[in-house]
Amino acid sequence: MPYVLGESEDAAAGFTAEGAHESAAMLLIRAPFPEGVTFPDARLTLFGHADLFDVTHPPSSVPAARFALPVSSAILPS
Amino acid sequence: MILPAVRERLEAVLRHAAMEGALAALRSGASHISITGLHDVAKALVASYLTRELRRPAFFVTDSNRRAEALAETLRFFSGIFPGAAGGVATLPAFDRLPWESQSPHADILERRAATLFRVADGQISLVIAPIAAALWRYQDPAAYLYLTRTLAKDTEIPHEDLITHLGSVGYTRTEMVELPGQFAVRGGIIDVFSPEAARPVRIELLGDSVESVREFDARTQRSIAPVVRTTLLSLTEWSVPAPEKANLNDAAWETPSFFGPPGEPGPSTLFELAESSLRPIVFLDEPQTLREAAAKHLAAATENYERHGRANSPAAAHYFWSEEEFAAALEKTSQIHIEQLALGIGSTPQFELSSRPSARFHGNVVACMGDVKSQLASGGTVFLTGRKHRRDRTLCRHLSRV
Repeated sequence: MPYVLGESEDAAAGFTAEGAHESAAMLLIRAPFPEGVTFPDARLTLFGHADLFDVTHPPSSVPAARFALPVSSAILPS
Repeated sequence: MILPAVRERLEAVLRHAAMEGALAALRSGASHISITGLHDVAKALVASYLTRELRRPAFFVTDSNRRAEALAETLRFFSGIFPGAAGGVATLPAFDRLPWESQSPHADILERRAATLFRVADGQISLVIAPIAAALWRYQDPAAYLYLTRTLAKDTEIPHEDLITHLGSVGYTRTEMVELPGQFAVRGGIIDVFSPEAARPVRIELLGDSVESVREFDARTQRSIAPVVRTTLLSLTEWSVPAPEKANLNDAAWETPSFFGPPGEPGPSTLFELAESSLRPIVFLDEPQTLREAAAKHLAAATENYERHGRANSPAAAHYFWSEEEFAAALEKTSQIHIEQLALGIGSTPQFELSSRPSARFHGNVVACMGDVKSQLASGGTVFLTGRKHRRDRTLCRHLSRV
């Protein structure tokens, strides 16, 4: 799948130029946001870095804690 | 370095009629507009782009420190692609304590506030990210924040004792050996100082009242590394606390700084008046309804805290914070941009909708992700795939070369 590197080689040391094509409509870039955004009208999507690789389950599937911590825990200041 | 292709592809979104309409309204002098349909990443993209296009000082107000921190990195990322007139982006955290509490604010918050206030007053910052509690604070005149920082270069005239007194008054701790930011040490005419946010400490050699040399040194080995043209010694607090008259300058003991300022006159400036620019500032209000509620809650908490913990001579809440009415009046002197997910605004504020939604999540399913990407590309779309770590970037490239 053709792609364009969004950073220069120096800055994008982890990316490889192998397979990069100048005319591609897909760009690879390092970015700080875990969750991305889609602009339907502009047909543009910025995937966040956790959208693809984060294998944690959605919060709803995480079982609730069985026991609640007491409010006046000894490790917390009163 | 981000390549121009990234900016070009993103500008395709920003040439949307909603964005062009919003820009036209702001350029023709509109004082309030609302841009709706925005999720978090879209908010950061829009704010950075408008800051770059309008070339005016900008402020991004959130409801909390946590929210400001969460958006800061994304705003920095897009501001790197669409830099404002001055270029920089900084966060101005709110104090984590109220002035009448017995505990002092966290040292990191004090340092970051002092550094940001200096940079804003010095014209180094294009976009300030601030929670509403920081925006409600009454600030000093911008010159007061410039005064707290010293920039020294070879041949700068500064009396030895003045420099030592100044460092003590802006929160530095005098030690035998400088190892950490916020420390200084004196050995005759040589003063070692480690400024907050500096990569390394500096060794300033004074000859009489003149700087003879400034060199960086290694805090671990204490050996000089190289001369520097100039050094900026940032303040650790946003107030200068004069040393006691009878203080011995060779003594490490200094008066504890008053973290919330002098009890005399209240600060005369709003946050939006600190920028070194005569241009009308832009204020992005992140979900204005939430901000209104957060402001009211914060001011009520401050009043309650004063009534409960304030002493007889303690200044009241109005000494430290602008009231809601005063804050609204300050906003009237700016160009307000309401950035909202849903169009909740009622009234005559012009609204522009730029539709956005969270991108799909694949939870490690690369095949499904690539299928989605292919489908978007086939329909003429543009896709940005982002990575954060090198290892994953390489993995991504490997997958792409196989698809």
